[in-house]
Amino acid sequence: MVDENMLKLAGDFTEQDIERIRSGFSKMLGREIRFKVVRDDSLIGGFSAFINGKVYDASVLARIEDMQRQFTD
Amino acid sequence: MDINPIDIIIHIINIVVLFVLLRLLVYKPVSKFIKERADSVNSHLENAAQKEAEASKLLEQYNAQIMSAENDAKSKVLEITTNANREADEIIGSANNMALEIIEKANQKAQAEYDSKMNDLSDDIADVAVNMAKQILQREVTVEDNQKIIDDFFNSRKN
Repeated sequence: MVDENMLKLAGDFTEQDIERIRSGFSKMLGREIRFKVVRDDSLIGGFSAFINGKVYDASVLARIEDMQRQFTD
Repeated sequence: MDINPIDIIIHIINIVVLFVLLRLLVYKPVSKFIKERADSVNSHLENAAQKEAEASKLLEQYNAQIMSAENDAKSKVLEITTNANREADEIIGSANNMALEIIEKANQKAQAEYDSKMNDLSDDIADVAVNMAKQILQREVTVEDNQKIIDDFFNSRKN
């Protein structure tokens, strides 16, 4: 069964990079994953994947927000 | 001048009679009167003495009462003064405690306000830093950076 999921990208990605992300998730989750690729520069850099309601966030924005939380706690 | 013995006898008799009469009529009442008078004076004197004794006894009693009253008054004044001093100390003590409490609360409030301002400040600084980082990174992220992010992501999942 192939899942229709979303992949948000920020910055420059090559087709190979996108394929690497897709195959990485397929291998990680043990099933064929297919993405609807969307560009979202608010992420500043990196990517954010939404698979079956679950978020895999590897974006620069997420890291900055983590840093901000540590700074203010 | 010739003296007649009968006359002499008569005179003597007269004198005796007179003496007896005087003794009966005058001496006894007078001496009775004098005795009564003396008795009365003595009784008055005794009475006066008794009265004086009573008066001095009363005087002693009054003096004793006055002294006792004075002592009572002194002890009462001392007691009142002691109570007043104690109450004054209590009032001063509680006033001091209240003052300390007020100062403590003021300090706590000032510290809380300071902490809050510091938190706000650090939040503001964080926001500024984050915005700066966003703006800088927005321009700087390259293809290689993104490739490294992909590698890091999957490598961290492998472990």
